[in-house]
Amino acid sequence: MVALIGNRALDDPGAYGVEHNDALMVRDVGWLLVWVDTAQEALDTTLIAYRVAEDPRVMLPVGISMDGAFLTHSEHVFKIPPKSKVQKFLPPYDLGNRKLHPSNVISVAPQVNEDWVTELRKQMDEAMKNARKVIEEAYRDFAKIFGRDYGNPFIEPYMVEDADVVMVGMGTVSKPIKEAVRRLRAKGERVGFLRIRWFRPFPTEDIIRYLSGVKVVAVVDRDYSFGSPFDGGAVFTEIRSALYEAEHRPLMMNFIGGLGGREISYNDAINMFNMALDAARKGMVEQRVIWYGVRE
Amino acid sequence: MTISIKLARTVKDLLQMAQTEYFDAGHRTCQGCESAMVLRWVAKAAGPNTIVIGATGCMYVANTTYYTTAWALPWIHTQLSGTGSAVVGTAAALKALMEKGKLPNEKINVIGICGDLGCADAGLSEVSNALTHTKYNFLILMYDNESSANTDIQETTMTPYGALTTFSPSGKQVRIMKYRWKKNMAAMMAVGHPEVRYVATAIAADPIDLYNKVRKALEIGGPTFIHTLDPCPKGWGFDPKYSHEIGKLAVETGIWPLFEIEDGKFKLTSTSARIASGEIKRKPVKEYLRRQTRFKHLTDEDIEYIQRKVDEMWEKWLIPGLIPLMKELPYPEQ
Ligand SMILES: Cc1ncc(C[n+]2csc(CCOP(=O)(O)OP(=O)(O)O)c2C)c(N)n1
Ligand code: SF4
Repeated sequence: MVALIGNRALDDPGAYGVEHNDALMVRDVGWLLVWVDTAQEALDTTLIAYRVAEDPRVMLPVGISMDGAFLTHSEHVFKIPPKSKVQKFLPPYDLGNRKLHPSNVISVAPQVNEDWVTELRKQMDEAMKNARKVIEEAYRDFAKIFGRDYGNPFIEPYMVEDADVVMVGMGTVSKPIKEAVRRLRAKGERVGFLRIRWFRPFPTEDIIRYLSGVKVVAVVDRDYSFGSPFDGGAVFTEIRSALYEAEHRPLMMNFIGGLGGREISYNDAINMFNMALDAARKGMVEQRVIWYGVRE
Repeated sequence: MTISIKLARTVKDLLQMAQTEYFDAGHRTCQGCESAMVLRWVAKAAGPNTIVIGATGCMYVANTTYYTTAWALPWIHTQLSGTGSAVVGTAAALKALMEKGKLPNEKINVIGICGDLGCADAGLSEVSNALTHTKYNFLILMYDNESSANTDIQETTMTPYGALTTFSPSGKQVRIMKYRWKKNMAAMMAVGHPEVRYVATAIAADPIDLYNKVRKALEIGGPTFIHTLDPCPKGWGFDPKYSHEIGKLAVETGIWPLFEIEDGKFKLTSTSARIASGEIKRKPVKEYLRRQTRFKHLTDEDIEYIQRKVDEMWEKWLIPGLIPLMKELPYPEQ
């Protein structure tokens, strides 16, 4: 099963714009979750998602997160692939002995209670772990067949080599942050950006590989997780947890911002970078979690 | 009649026509559970070319415990309020796969089964939405044991006036907690969805009537709806050996009118038709109510009130059992 989730703020209060809590609601119940930042990537990821979701080693639902309004309601130019290539990439879905049909008399999803629920959850755990490999295979085949190579499927590193400060985010916030990186790099600042695509399964190894040894990691959360450790956002908390295993743990900052679709411009991103660069210079973080731009 | 299929007229017919069990041993419902009897007859009437979708409730939890199943038909669980969407999705998928040649083109019955909470309360909007999907063929069966039984007998909108449930106990301050009158669900489905070609009420205590209604619903095509009233020994408070008797009394007292609406034509059936024609007299509701401990706290006045309401339905409603508008109203103008 594949669901395209146009992330918007959860009521109440009503708001049209993006907040990632919409998709994060299902983060712990067996959904694979992937964030995209262009219409082309949304389309490509949809094809990839079907491949992954229907793979017998996985068979878990995939949620593709698009930023509400910014991505779901804006016009983009994108290429539609020919049907023949799609058919080559996506084999027919074969339910095998799980087909619900009079020719196959089965009972699906019975009541299990404490007798079996642990074992069934463990199967989902295995499937989720398998998904890492299946996702890699799918992107490799996708590049071969469609000629569009996304590189590392799980994350998109942007000018992170030799960076002192790396900002991390998901979805369309990548656009202003990349612009800020270019402008700051032009001034000689060693900054970079890491976009997380797959949040479930979480790219633990990649996070450690790219962020271990960086001076300051600044996570932009377009979500909240009230009462979480250090009262940070969901992405911040997970990255912090992954980096516990890093050889050189970086300092960490968290910007909660852009909620309900409030814009994060490249100037905002530059501001955030400057705060992180300041922390890098001082070798300490004064305020760990910053609600960016909040009116108090 | 717009459909011509073989119907059962006598018990002998029924036994001959419906020999194979498709809802069989292996379930854990209470002794005397009439909802289980309903499923047994529905499965028999539907036959092997059927897919069953069951919402959460007693008829899920008690019938399909992992590693066992009472179903000799393909069966799948759906969420408490999911029946409407699940039947539409299943019927639409079958249609699409058949049209694409991916499944042999044949008639497959799709039956969604939901309790009164799952259907009339939590799942009402989905069921209503499903009944507008006239492109697809399916039957939604609401088995009504008049409570949220699986979770230990809580009140639903289908719990009858005055009945004790764990949410509507009787106390010193408030003797009658369930003061809300039961919803007229089959009628609501029929009147609210004029394109639906078959809607009926039924009861397990009248298996010929039930069996025939299921057959008609599955034969006529499009979305269809059947509402059964199912005596539940645990929730209603009576010895399981009287389940059938209580069911019969529900009809004989006129509390539960048996009817069908086929292509817009309304007809009382079986015992209810005989009551309407004067062939038999309605029994006092007291005979039904006094047999169940859930009504034990009702005073004679309470019972009179219920009797008045039932009398009103039979004598004053525009159509008894269906349209609760009074004949005295200036509509329709003579
Ligand atoms: C969304 C949701 N809320 C609550 C429950 C808990 N629950 C399980 S069965 C049930 C009762 C269903 O009542 P009804 O549809 O009348 O069927 P019955 O149990 O009476 O057969 C409830 C509330 C659930 N499974 N899902
Ligand atoms: S509680 Fe009622 S509906 Fe549930 S299994 Fe028992 S008799 Fe049947």
